[in-house]
Parts: sequence; C-alpha cells; structure tokens
Amino acid sequence: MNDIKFGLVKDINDPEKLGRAKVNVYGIHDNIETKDLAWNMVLMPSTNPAKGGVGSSTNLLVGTLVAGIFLDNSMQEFLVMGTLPTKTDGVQDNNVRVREEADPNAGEPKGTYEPEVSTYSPKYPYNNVMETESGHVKEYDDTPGNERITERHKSGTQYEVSPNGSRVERIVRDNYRLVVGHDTLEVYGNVRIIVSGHVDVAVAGNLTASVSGNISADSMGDITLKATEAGKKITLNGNVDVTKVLRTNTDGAAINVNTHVHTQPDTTADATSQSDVSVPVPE
Amino acid sequence: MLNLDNIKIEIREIDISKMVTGVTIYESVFGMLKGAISIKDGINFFDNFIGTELADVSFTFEYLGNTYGCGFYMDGISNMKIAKQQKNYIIHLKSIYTPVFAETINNTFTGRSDQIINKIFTDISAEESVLHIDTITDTKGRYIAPNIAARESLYTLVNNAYDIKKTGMFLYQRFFDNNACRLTSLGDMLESSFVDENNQPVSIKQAVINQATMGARATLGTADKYELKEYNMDFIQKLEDGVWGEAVNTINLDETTRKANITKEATSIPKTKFKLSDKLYTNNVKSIFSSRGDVAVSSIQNHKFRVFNTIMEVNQMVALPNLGAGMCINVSLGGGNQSSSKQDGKYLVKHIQHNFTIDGGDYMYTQDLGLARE
Repeated sequence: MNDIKFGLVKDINDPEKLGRAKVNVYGIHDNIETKDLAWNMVLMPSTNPAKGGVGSSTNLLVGTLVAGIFLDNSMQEFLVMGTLPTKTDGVQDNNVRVREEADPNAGEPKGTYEPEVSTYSPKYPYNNVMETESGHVKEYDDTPGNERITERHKSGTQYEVSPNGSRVERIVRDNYRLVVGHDTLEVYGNVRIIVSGHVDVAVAGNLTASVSGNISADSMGDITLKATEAGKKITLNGNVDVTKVLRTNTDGAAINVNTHVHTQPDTTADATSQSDVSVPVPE
Repeated sequence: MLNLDNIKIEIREIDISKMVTGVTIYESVFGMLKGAISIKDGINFFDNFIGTELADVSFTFEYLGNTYGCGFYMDGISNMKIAKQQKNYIIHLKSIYTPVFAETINNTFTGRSDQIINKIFTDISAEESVLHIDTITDTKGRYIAPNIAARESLYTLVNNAYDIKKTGMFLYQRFFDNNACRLTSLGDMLESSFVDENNQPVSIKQAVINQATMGARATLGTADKYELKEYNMDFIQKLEDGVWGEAVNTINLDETTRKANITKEATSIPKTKFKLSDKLYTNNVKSIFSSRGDVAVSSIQNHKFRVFNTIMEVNQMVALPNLGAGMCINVSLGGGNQSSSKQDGKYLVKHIQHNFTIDGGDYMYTQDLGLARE
C-alpha cells in the first residue's frame, strides 16, 4: 500500500499557496478528473528550511513526473517526494546544458568588444543547471578545465564567469545601479568605456582626477569648461599652449594676466587667428 | 429437533439435492455469506458438470411452513475422497456478491458514507440486488476510489463511517434476507432485538423443554451446548490500544450499563494516528476520512471491537427462522441456577452458522450462534 508510486503533476495553482500539487498517480487515479484530485504536499530537501518564508519554492510544473507515497492506507493523500527527469513524450526532460548539447544561446548577438572565445563547453554530468519555466537559467559548471558560472535572464541579460575568472556581463536593455553607501572600483589593468550615445556625469561634490600620465580629450565638437557660480573661476595651473584662437567673452570675463605668460604667436598659425587675440598684454 | 420439509440445491440449474449430505452456511456482521456443501457424488457430477468457470448455486428450503432461499457462487472444491463407486467432496460457496465486489472501482464520490456505499453497490451489482440502508451515516465528504476492488473500497468506507450516535458501521449479509445486503450501525444493531411473530423478544434457552407436552415450536431457540469462548482476552493489549477509550457509556447492552468500574478501565488513546488534511480538496471539500485519527473517532472505531470482548458460543440450537447477524437476542440460561444466570442477558448476534445435516434421510436444521457483548 505505502510503496513508492509515480504520477504526473496535473495542477500547481494551489489555492492555499503551499506549493502543493495535484498528482494523477499511475494506476490509482486513471479515471479521476483533475478537478477532483487532492492537493498533495511536496517533500523538500533539508537544505530548504521551509519555515517563516525562508527557503525555496517547490518549483513543479504541470506534466512533471513525480514519485511519492500515500500517507494513508486508503490512498487519499499523496506525498510528492521527488521528480524524475526522463523523456516525456519524446522530449528530454534533463536540461540541454546538462546533457552537454550546444549552447542554446550561442546565436545571440554579442557586443563589439565582447571576447570572441565562448567558455561554454559543459561535459556530462558536471554541469549543474537550474532553469525556470520562462527560461531564466543558473549554471554552475564543474566541467574539469571549463569551470564556469552563468546566470541569465530569459531576455538574454546575463553574466558569465569563465574558467580563468574573467567575467563577461551582457545587458540587453538599460542598466541602473544604486549604491546608497560608497562605491570603489579598483582596476589593476586598463579600463575602456565605449559609449555610443552621450555620457552625463553629475557630481554633487568635487570631481577629482589624479592622473600619473597625460590627459587627452578629443572632441569633434566644442569643449566647454564653465564656472557657472558667481565668483568661481577656472584655474589652469601650468603652461598653456594655445594653437588656435584664445578669446574672452563680451561679458567681462578675463584671463588673469598675473599668472599668465604670453609667448610670441606661433608663426605657423594663420594670420586671421593671430590678429584676433584680444588678451591685454602686460606692459 | 425440527426437520426441514423440503430442501433443494441446484448448481447451474442442475438439482444435486440427492447427492448432498450436509450444508453449512455462515453469516456474520463482518461480511458476506459463505458456506459449504458436502457431496456424495455417485454419478460423476464432478467430471461432467463442474468446470473452472463461475457456477451459480441456488439453495432453497422449507421450514415451519415457509420457503427460504439464497443464492451463491461455487468457489471451488476440496477434500475429495475418490472411491470406485463415488467421490466424496466439499463444494465451497461464496456470496453472490463476491464476483462483483472484486470489480475495480476508480471513481470520485462525494456525499455521506451511506450514499457512497450505496452508489458503489448499485454501480457494480445486478439490477435486482438490494442494499438495505438501516442507518444514515454522519460521515460525509469526498472519496476517491483508488483503482481497487469494490470490496476494499466498501469496507474502507464502512470501517471509517459512523452514525449520528457515534457508533461504527457494518456491511453484511443475512441468510434470511433473500440475497440482500445490509448497512447498519452498531448503535442500531444494539437496539434491534429479535422478536417473535407476536413482536415479543425471543430468548435463547436451555433445551429442557418437553417437546411432547409443549409442542415442537416450543423447542425453537433451545440449545444444550453453551460455551463462553472469550471473556476479556488480551486485556493489557486492549488497554494499550485504548479499546475502552472514553465511550463505554454509549454502549446500550444491559451488561455494559451495569458496569461500575468504567472509569477505572478507561484509557487514553496512546497511538498516534495520521490525520488527513482538512484542505485536501478545492472549495473546502473534505475527505470522507478527514476525522480519522481524531481521538473521538478512534474511540468509535474501537467501540466496534469492544462489543466483542465477551464471546458466547451457542451450538446446535434449534434453528430460529429469520434470526440474523446484527440482531440482539436475550440469553436466559439459568432460571434458578445462579452460576448460569451470570451469563444471561442481551447479546449481539455476531455470527450464525446454519447447519443442515442428514439424519435418517431427513434434513435437520440447527444454528450455531456467536454472541457478543462487552
């Protein structure tokens, strides 16, 4: 009577939201309609506390093959003890990533600067995969030599940690990050930021850039440095080479001549520019 | 003893009465009829007519001017002694409900236990079959028959059902019920006394009546052999199982109500029993077994067994027609005999073995009774 029995999950919309499932047990409920079946509890592993909201969901699907026992001799209440990934109606139940098949997301467009070599190369049975009904995926791949972690949203947003520890993150839509406290990025090597649109940096306090080497800013448009508050100034503490026209505005802004050394015009500069200099020259 | 006026036994409509040396029919509150026919076969009936298929057996007889009958199925043969001229063997009989009760049931039922039992019975039985619902049950809910024999489904339902008086139920068959089945609560059984044609309670007596002076009918219900088979057997085990529980006072047997040490013997229910979820089904439908495991319900279940704490056997009683299992009957042994009168009182008829034997060419009919009370 209380031997292990097998059945198919028929309904998971437990009205009590306890994670229970209606199971049609083979040989027991052959003629029983789903609406009449009982809601059966699901036995969770001891890694799931299942207490006070702590733990994980039962995560069954309609059609899942389960095993369990009846709790009573009259076989009215079934206890689901586990699931069996097999081959249901010709379709493999075990995840393609577990079965070391080709990366199902290999064809997705990559970033221009994304590393070319994919680290996806699982071997059975090393890849530990959790995929949800909509297509969210977590992989902890223990394949020797190809140890990898991937976490992926159904949309394609994902990060992947490759065997050497490199991490590639791909976000298919917008990204937003809030740090309520402080944030530090420490990079031993180089940093590249490629932006196809605009960049806005808004700093409530000071913006400090300490550079051991040179600073180079190339712009195909204007470059504007503006001290917008009254009495605030722009200080250039060092030699300034002006290779084109240096011009003050008409509202009275001036270059502080006390700290300014004017050298002779560049003889290679065009005449129009040179004659346009309006800086007061010290006597 | 009263002889039978006539007896007729047919197997597959072939009259085998002349070959019969004895018939035993057994009825009990715990189930369906069964029996056995002793055969002295001098015409090779066995070789020519008995096959492997189910054979229906018809058994009719006349007793005290009335005709009674019951149907059976043949359930094999045993103890065959083979001689040159004849074979002696026993044909075993099973209730006519045995084959249909073996049918598999896999359906959903919702309602009172008696309604579900009746529905299953009606679904599987022949059109002319009858189930007497003597008692409406108090248990109700949903039952999913899990693809098991109807017999198992029915007895699971019966053994978990109780009536409004909180007494357990029995599904059984009586020999004198003309092939009908019966669903009765223990409470109703205990209130159902066997009465004579004048509606007076009948008592079983010692066979001291002078037939010559009082007439043959006066010997009905008399017997010489009484045996107290069991009294309070396995007492410690019963205590441990909580057999007495808290419901002793609900038993209406006279002997029980005279007991003074009920509380001394009362025990708690020490067993932990699994209780089905109250939210097993959608829309607040409960399982018909949802109360199983409750202390009170355990007490009800144990009540059924408590009644069988004292078992009295009465053997070779002059048969009382229409006496059936599940009735109560008085035992009046003692008169002025103090040692015997202690066993007097009201008993529940637990089982009856109907014995038809040949005595000098005539059929004799006696009954062996199993009587019970707490």
